[in-house]
Amino acid sequence: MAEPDLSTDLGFLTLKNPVIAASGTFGYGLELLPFCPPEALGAVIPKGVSLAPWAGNPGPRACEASGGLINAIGLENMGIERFLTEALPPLKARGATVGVNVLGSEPEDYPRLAERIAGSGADFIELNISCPNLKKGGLSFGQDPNVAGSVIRESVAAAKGIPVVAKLPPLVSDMANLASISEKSGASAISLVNSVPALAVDLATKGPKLANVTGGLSGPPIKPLALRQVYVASGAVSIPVIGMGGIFTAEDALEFLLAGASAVQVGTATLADPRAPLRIIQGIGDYLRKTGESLRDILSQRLPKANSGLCSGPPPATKGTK
Amino acid sequence: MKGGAPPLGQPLMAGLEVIRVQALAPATTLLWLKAPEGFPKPFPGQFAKLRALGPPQIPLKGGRALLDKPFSFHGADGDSLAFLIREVGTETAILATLSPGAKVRLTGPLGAVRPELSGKGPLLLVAGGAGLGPMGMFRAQGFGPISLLYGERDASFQVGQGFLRGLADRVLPFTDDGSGHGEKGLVTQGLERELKADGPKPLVFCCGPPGLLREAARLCRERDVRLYVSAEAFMACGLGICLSCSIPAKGGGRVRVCVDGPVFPGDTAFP
Repeated sequence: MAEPDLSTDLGFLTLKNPVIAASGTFGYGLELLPFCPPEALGAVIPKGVSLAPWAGNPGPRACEASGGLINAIGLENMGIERFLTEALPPLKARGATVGVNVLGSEPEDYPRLAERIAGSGADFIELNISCPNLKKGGLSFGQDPNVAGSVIRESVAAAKGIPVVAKLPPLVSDMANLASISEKSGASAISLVNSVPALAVDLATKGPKLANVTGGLSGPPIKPLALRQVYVASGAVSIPVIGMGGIFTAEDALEFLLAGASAVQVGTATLADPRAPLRIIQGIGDYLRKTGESLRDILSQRLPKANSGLCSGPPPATKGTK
Repeated sequence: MKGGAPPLGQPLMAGLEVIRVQALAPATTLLWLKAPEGFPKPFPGQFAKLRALGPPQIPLKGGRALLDKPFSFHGADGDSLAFLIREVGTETAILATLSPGAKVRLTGPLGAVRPELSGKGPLLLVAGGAGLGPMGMFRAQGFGPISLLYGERDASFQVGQGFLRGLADRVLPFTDDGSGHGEKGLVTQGLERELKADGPKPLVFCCGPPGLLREAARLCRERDVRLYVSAEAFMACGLGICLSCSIPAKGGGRVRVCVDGPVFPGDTAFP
């Protein structure tokens, strides 16, 4: 049988396969060469960058919890200038599709970063407005739909045609609304979910396990939550949704595609096994060969509409029973 | 992965067979794995990530860990690779109960190569607890004589003298409470005494808890003795990508324990 076509069309970009390396879990793109060459993936999103280099948080920065990983790295990064001169060119030279994840301490930082990336050769920009380690007044920018909307609008204007993807937080009061505002503000796509605010307590020291006290939970425990948010968000927008949250296997990835995603990001799985993204691409191909479907068949299937509320209410009264 | 042996030093990932399991103390086990063909020769201080494959032979209180855990190479003789396993959690407990024939997933060798850790002249090894892990790697590096200072909390953690004598020409064990063989007290007391002794200055290599590394750095700085420390920090990937183990470097900037270390000159980085 012919190799299945794994390409996925995001509208602004066609990926050779639907698996993207998630920001913060693929270094600056070349560290994993012995295990996972970046050009083999649909796209890579290197470690998020800010206007100036950031030192990040003190350690301990991460710990395992309930089958997942809690991190508070604190967005340590080399800064946009070094990134554009040192990290991006070798990735592009290898033929990798590269999204540049950007982060700011102020909403105004985002359009300035987008402006700097315009003309750099990057394939798209991902706005990190959702990191639990990046907060203003206790909330990530993305949790306030008004702030999210203006950050996206101004970044899109500054990016001069480079597509802008908004990376959204998992815990918001109305995911459909935030997704819709992202679309109306000019985002070419949305990616979700970022890690989930979380806490690990050390009974031995009666203190927190992380120096930052709280962090972001990722990995298998957040997958059902992420699937639900991808499902809700994709029902509210016509731009593509890039799904992520605990994807460790090809089956996980396919579930996200059925829930409404057009592509997926693999993150924590790569930390556990640097070959994970390649394994997942291979597994999607194996699945399609087995079922005789195309990726397009998977992407055109959608789950049924859900009840509007989480509770279905009391059962309707029935007649004619004793 | 494509076929053929990886270039020298390039880490690989493989399922390896357990060939020998040796209990050294109630919570310390030496695990020997069959080295895959063409496995790059690890340098002292380098490490590998390990994970026991297959169903665990012990009842688990919770689930398996998400991440493979890092262990210093204790020995490497071409055909086999040895790791000292100190039981501190689920995965180390599973590794300690493996039998010959069981499979372990290994990713390695990881960590920077430190050519300074081979050479001539006296070498002083300072190990605190599980810091004994990398100390088996120095016999083949040309140093002589090698002295080993080894500290444990109490006798129940202490590894036997016969095993220790295989690691160094001279062994000085310590227990905090004096319940074990050797002296009562902290291993740093031994270090201070050794550094005060007459004779050529040794190269010092230290592995253990952060307090030990800091005190060793202070003592060696005072006497202008060259020190290398093996730092420890929680690492998720071990490959330089997640920055979980990034620590401040003296003089500014940051270093990653997993790829820039774990061995650092004692005066440049502290956990």
